[in-house]
Amino acid sequence: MKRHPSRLLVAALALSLLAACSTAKDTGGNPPGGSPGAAKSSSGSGATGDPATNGANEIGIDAPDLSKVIFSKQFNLPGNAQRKVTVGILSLEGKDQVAILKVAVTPQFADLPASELVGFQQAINEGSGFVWQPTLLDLTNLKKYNVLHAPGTAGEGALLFENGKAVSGQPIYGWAVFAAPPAGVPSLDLTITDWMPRFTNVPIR
Amino acid sequence: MALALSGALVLLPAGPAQAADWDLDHLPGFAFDAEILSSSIVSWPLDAESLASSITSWPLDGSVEDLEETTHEAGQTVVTLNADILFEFGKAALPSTASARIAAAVAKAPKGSAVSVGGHTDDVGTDADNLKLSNARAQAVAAVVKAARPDLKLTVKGFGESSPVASNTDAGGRSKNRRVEIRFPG
Repeated sequence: MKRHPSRLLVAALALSLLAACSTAKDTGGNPPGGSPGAAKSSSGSGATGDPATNGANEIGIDAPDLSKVIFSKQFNLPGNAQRKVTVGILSLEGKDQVAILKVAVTPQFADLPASELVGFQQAINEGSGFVWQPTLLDLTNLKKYNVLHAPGTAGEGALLFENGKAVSGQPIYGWAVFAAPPAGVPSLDLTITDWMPRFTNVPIR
Repeated sequence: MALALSGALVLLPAGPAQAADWDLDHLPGFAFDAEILSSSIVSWPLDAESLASSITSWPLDGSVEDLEETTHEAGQTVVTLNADILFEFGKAALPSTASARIAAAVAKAPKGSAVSVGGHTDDVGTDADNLKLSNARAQAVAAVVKAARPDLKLTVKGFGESSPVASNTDAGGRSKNRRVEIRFPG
């Protein structure tokens, strides 16, 4: 079977990205890097522990560090006035042929108990009706970059979230991989979904 | 073999005094012949083809869209401009970089010919809002066309969500529907 080297590179980068987002825990303690917002969350979670980080703990990774967010916006989820979500851009990093977007997404679901763990992506999709499909916009060269995805797989071109659960107020990682823009493009506009206003001039580092 | 033997030892009674007396080659009830040993090992092939097939690849091809796509239908050239690139959410202001590309897109229009500029949206939002937005976007593009080619006879119209080219049930389809079409003979 012949494989294009660039495809292997992309797959390898995706794996390294997952590894970078995940930090194995060797203790049962709370992970470092918890967010200020997370620290304010309710403590009424009962057996599930600290609601600020229990979703991250459940799958053994660090919670996103919101002090590293470079842009942040809060949006109302269409179809449910009690549900808002804050999207924080952590980084847009160029690596060889790809650009890797990392975001911290924090749900604020007033219609759910503060301690209730919910499937994050399902909750967002139920609220908005749409899968989040981010795009990068190069207004210098007038091009649009869609998320890379494996043909025939579910979630075509979608933002990938941690495969875990979250409580309201707890940030969770999301990421997406795009083809890299040409050299010399210092920043791009970013759309997370087609019903959200753009993040403009997101720097590529 | 070491792995297989260590697996077998787990089944035996513990105790250092006893273990010292065991002859692993002649345990009653156990026969460590090569066939049994080999069948106890699950192997993961490491040849190039197996390794390659274990990797899910994300092809770069086709993930980048250009501003314009040119097609031909019924004696007309149709230049479809991607509104996601041209316009911010809910707005109709063009980026400064767009003028040259739009002018190039109509460079082949015959001198003095009739050219239509049509704006289109997806079905998100109200009909009235979409009609207004699509018209504003068509007007913005038409202004650039007029500046570049004052000889052309322009017809400008906003169609709102009334003429989709794809399903509005997914983001990819809605993106295709958000567009401005320039049509001229040729």
